[in-house]
Amino acid sequence: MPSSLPISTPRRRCPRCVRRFAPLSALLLGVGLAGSWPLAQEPPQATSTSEGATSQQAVPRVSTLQSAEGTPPVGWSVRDPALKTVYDTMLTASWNPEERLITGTETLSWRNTSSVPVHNLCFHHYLNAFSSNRTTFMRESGGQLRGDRFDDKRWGWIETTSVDLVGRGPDGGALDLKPVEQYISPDDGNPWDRTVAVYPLAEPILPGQVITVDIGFESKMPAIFARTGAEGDYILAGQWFPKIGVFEDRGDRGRAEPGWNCHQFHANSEFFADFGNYSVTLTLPERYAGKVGATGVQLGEPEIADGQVTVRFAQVGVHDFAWTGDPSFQVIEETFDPSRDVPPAMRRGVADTLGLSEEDLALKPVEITLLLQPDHANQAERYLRAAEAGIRGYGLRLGLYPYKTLTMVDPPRDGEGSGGMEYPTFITLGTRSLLAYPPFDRLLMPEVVTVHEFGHQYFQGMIASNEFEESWLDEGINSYYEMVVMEEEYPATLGFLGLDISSFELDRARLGSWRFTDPVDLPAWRYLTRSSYGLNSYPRTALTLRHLENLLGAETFHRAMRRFFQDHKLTHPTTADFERSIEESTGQDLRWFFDQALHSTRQLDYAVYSIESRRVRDERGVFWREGERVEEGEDKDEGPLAQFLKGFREGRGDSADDGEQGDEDREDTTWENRVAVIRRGDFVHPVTVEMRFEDHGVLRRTWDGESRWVRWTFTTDRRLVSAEVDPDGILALDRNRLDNSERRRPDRWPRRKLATELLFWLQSLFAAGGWLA
Amino acid sequence: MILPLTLSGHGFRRARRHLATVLLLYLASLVPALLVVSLISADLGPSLDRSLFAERLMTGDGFGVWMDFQRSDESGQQPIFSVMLGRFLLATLLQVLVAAGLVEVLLERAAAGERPFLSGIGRHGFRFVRSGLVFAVMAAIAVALSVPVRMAFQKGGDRLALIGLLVQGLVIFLLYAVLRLAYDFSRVSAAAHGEGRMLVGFFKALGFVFRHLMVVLPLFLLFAVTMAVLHLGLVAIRARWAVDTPGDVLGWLLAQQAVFFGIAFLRTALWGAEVTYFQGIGEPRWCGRRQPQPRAAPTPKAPPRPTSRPAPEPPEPAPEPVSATPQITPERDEPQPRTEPEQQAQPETLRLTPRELGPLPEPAEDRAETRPAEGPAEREQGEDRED
Repeated sequence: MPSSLPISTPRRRCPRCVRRFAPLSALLLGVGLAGSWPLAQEPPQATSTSEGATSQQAVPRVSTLQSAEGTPPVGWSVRDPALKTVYDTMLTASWNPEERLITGTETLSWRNTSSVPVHNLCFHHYLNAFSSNRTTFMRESGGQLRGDRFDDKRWGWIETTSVDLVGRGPDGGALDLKPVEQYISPDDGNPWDRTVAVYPLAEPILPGQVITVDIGFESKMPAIFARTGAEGDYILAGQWFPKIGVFEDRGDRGRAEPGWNCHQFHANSEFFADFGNYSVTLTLPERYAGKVGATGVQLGEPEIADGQVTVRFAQVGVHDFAWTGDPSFQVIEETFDPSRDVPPAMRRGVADTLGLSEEDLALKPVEITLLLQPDHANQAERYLRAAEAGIRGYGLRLGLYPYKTLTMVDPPRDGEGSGGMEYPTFITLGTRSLLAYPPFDRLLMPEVVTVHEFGHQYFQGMIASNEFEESWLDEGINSYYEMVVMEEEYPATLGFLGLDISSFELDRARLGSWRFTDPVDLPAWRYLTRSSYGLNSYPRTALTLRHLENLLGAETFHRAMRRFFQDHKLTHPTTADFERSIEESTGQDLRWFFDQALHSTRQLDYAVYSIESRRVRDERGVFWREGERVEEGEDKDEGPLAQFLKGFREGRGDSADDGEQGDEDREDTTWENRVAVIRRGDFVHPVTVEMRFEDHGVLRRTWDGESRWVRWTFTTDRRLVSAEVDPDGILALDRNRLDNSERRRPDRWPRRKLATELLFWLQSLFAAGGWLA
Repeated sequence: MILPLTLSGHGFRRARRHLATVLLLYLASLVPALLVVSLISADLGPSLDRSLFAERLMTGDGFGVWMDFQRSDESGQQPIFSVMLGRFLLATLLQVLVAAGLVEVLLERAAAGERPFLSGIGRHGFRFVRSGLVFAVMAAIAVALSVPVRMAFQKGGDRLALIGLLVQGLVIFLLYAVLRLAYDFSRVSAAAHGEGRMLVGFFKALGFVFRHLMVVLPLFLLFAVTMAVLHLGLVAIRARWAVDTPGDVLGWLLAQQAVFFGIAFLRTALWGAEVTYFQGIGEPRWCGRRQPQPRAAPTPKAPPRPTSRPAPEPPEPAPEPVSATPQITPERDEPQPRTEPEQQAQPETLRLTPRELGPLPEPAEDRAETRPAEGPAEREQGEDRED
């Protein structure tokens, strides 16, 4: 970060600050009254009335929280501990689709919430990542991301036209910061990357002090790529305005020294910001009337004048604001009603698991707005049902979805690069027309993306971890809950031609060969490959949490996860916070697990190495008993062939399997059974081994898994049938489950079935060859 | 539609008379598949046979088992993809050769004691392979020609793009059907006359197909759709059938093989219908050299010979005279009638009705008595011809 400039003492607060925030405060008041309010605590408890019905205590209003810190300026709600907001932002944007240009203004009021003076301001200019092929994003991505290729005839950029620090200029006027605007590249020193802008200040911002910056800017939207852009009339405006970075104090997220957390935009990374309040006015051509969606609540009706339509949105307590518009959108509105859309049995089941009462799991109504492409009209129900599944699945387990609205955007075919993304109260989805028709309607892609992106309202929206530095805390934990919700709501995530595949198996498959090159918790741009980023951030974490759930038990695990969420939402937790929270909740030392699962590349793979069962023969040979030498057993008069065969069988270790005729009927037959279990991987994990015997007897042993192998020997009157490592299916991270067990006698029917299936498809393929030649 | 159905009936009867050939066609896809499956099965054995986890295959969770097998040490012993590719090419070649034998069988002109299947492969195998290459190229061109059709729909929304894909599929299917028919008929002609100008024959047959589109296309569609319905029906049944017991596994195996045999039967029947039609229109010679003929004369004059050899007999009804000078045949290369006295010279434009077509060829045992003897010289002539 650049060194600070000479400090000048502010003379007085400009009265214009008060006047600026009057409209903002009015908007926030309206929003607060509308009830869209992220709560720092659990929702108010329902109380019983004398009539037997329940009622909720009043949701805190803006005015109540405004008074939390004495008498701030009217409408001011920054630095309110309940809201945990750091800034207020008032944005205006005028969209010119022909030029693909947003002309905007931003009035940002930012409070220094740290304990040290801040000598500069740091902003993200994310859109500059698409300005040339030399930016860090373009170099790392090679112009391709998520299956899209960048259209290099339509670059994107953002440029400020004015940056005025209100009240810091001569005579109390505005201080022009535009001349001191600099671009830095703190991650890789790339001189062409302009995604981080810094403004050195002559006078630092003291702890607790609030500054206001007026910014004029222009944003050129690129062709749809990497979650943002415009294609024809369709626009998805993500990261479209100058976005203040996060100033972290000493100790915040384990930080040693205070400073700005403001990374460049990398191909693999997403975003990180503080919580703030947004008030946004959008102006678009009239044809967009009624076809605009955004974060938060729409205030009033759109105003149409001079061929333009103006729409206003507001949302408190979020860390981002995105919006969209497309004249061809079909707008579908529906309300999630907990009394109708949460099955009582589901609520009871989750309450039992969490050890809470059903009243503790009360959910709020949510107004869902679906902005749908006309071509996908026959899939609207799929999107809406999936959104409801997400609201109840995440809400019951973690905490209610606190916002009033949820806007879902279905991108057009040309805009698919903007799909599959989350912003506060605003998610982008994706589907194909083909998926509406059998048998493709059993490919639950619309459902998966809806549940996943909704889930980000929790893990990113409210948890707000740093996606640059610890992507797994957001993507991975969310992937786990996506798996849970999908398993609960849909029998198979992928069903095709008789094949039913669960989310769990899909996540296992996505790990490929399971040969990890990186640990889970790396900064997004430091993985060896982009696929390493993907598998570590998503499926590997999801499987790790499933493994932890199995290890701890569902009740303990889900209670711990709920506590983590409730304790750390709105606080930008870290990996260390997560681990500490789980350990405290469970009362167990899980360091051994976290170190291997999250901080290493170790593979977990236990296998049954061998099982044997030999008949213990009658005593034969020379024995010394009571001082006398005694010969026991008589050799049968066996011919050479019989002796050869017996020796051959004994050498192969099969003699006891076949036994001699009639042995099984002998009551005094004794068997020596041996089971050897081996650790093939380098992940050390205690395991249970179960041995089954012929009379259906079962014996279990526990092994700490530390040595390379272990062998048990049992002498019993029953023969061993099979041995199995992890009979309870705890080891979700076990690389290969086929070698976890062994049976003494082979069962070839599974192989025969698989061979029959393969024969069908191969024969079909080869018969098709006859049609080609 | 009556004629295609009639031809289909004749095709079924021919196929039924030659079930052994049907069996060979069926085996042509089964044997290569069995080879690959046996290799994979040998790899699967150590992992699956003794694993309790493999039991999930019986209960429907085959995906997880298969993916874990892919990660196991045993899975890497065979380069499955290259093996499959090799077997696919082998199966394709095998079916081309089988087709050569099959056509010879279906022509039903084998003398007593002759093995028409093997002799057919010997005679026509190589030219059928050459013809297959021609067909493959033409099919690829047809696919390429269909791309603009789909691209025309791309500018619209997602649904329009899907419609474009379906339209492209339909265009490819129709083009394929036409090309396939030409390919089949040219091979029948080549086999019937022992001629080898496959490229020329293909295009002549293509012209024939276009002229008789309303007969041959429904015929092809009838068989193709039936085969597709059988196959897809089996897939649909399997999608709803758990197959979770050893009995079910055996049942599934029998069901699928029965369907594949049925499909082989239908393919043979389609060949049979094509051969029937080919014979019904007088067995045109598409793959031979064009014979010069005076336009006015219904039959070509014999060219003057410098030697004292007797003047050749008029070609009708005798076979074409041997001559180093190519003879020009009529534009459509109308078939030269053979020895069947009941067949007359065909009109230039074939608009056959069942009445015009006349009685369809008799079963093999009757036809063998009237089949003209093919001397060695004729056969050699056919084989000497190059495209």
